[in-house]
Amino acid sequence: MIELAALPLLQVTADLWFVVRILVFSYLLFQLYLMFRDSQIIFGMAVIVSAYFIFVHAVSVTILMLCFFLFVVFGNQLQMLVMFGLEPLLGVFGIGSGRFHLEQNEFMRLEQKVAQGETLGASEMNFMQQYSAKQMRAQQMTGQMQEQQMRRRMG
Amino acid sequence: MLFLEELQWVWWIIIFLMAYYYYNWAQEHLAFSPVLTLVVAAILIYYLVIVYPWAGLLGWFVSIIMFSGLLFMGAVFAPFLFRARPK
Repeated sequence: MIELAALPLLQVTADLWFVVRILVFSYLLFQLYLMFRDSQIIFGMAVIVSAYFIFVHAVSVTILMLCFFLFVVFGNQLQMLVMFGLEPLLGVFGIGSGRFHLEQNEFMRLEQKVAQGETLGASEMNFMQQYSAKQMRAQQMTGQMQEQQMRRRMG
Repeated sequence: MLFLEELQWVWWIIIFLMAYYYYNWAQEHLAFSPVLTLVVAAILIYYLVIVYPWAGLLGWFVSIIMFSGLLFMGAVFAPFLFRARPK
C-alpha cells in the first residue's frame, strides 16, 4: 500500500500549490488593477484571461517565464559563458573556435623561444612548419577570394 | 523542564499574529475589492494557519527575511566579517 502512504504528502503538495497560485494571482490582480482601473471592461477581461492562464496552465506559464528570463534577460550572460567559458574548454579537445587559440598560443611561445636564441626540438620544428604552411595557405585563399570579388565588381 | 502551558499560550499568540499577517497581506494587495480581500484572506488563513500552520510559519519567516530589507544588512556588515587578511 505504497500509494496510500504517499497520499497525505500529495494532498499537502496540492493544497500548498493552490495557495501559491492564489498568491500569484493576487499579485497579478494588483498589477492589472493599477493598469486598467480606468476601464472596467478591459480589467474584467484581463482578470479572466490571467485567471485562466494561472489556474489552468500554471506549469506551462512558469516554464515559459523561466525560459524568458534565461534566454532574454540573462541571454548576454549565457552567451559570455559559452564564448569565454565553454569554448576555451572545448578548444583543448579540438572542438569549436577555441582550438585555434591553442595553436596560436603555442606558435607565439615557440616564436619567442626562437627570438631568445634557443633551439627548437624536432616536434616543435615540425609544428612551426605546419602552422606556417597553414597560415600561408589561409592567406593565399584570402587573396584569391579578394581577387575574385574585385573581378566580380569590375565585370 | 519546559512549561507546556506557557508554550501553548505562546503558540496561540503566534497563530493569531500569523492570521493577522495574512489578512493584512490580502488587504494590502487587494485593497480595491473588500469582497476579494475577504475571500483571499479566508483561503490563506484556512490553509496556512488552520490546516498547515507550520507551512504558514515558514512562509511568514521567509517573507519577512525576503521583503523586510534584512538582507541589505548583509552587504553592510560583510566587509567587516569577510575582510581580506594582510599577508
